[in-house]
Amino acid sequence: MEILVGRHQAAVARLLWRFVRTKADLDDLVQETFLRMVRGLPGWRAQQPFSHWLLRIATNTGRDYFRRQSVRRRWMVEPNATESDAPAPEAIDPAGDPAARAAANEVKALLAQLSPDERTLLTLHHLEGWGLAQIAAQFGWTLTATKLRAWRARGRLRTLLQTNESS
Amino acid sequence: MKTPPSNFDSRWENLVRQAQADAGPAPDLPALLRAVRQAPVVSREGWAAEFTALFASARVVPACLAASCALACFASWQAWDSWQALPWAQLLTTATGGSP
Repeated sequence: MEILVGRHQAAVARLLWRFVRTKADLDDLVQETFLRMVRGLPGWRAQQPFSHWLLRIATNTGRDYFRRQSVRRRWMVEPNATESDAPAPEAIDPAGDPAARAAANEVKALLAQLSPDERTLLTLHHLEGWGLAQIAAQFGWTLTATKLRAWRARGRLRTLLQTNESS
Repeated sequence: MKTPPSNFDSRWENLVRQAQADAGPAPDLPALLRAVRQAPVVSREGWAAEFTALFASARVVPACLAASCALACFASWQAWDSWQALPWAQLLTTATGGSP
């Protein structure tokens, strides 16, 4: 088990970093992914590569995280407060490339205003470079529905970016 | 004619290109290993679990349809069989005068 964790933790953390903004959240999600892996291990069939199966668990964990955040935001006392109000993570985790970290934070803050599914889709598509067919297969969506969802999400993003620029 | 890229597209592409270069911190490996070690490993159950899995929620509707078809076939066969036996029963009743 430890060999499995040691071998795959870097890839899982790299993927899940696209979903979170702080190291604490990253640690939580990586841990959740590997715990799900341990629980699901008896059901794993050798027909598919282990790394694919594990990354599938990781993306589902990331999507669940977005869903939890969305629910929490809906029930928050201050409806206008968003993730961008969170304290700057740079103070705790200094970035190797501050410009890249700033851009990533801006992208994540923009994507945070979309629905969980749209957010997952655009996170994987833009930040991880996954193709739409791959995302569709990952979540069991049809390719047409995925394309439509991506198109709508981009439209919403365009509006958000324009609003941000004008304000 | 191809539409020229909008201001949004160029700004967004630029942001994304920069964001892709962002490398996250390494996860806390000792804590992760501790958590994994403490997690109970579920051993695979035997044939009973496999059999139960056959009736998982995704398979319930097709399984019910198949069972209904099988039941309908069996009932039709039984009815047809009884129908075939009716003239014989009638004949027997007439021959014996109704007593068994």
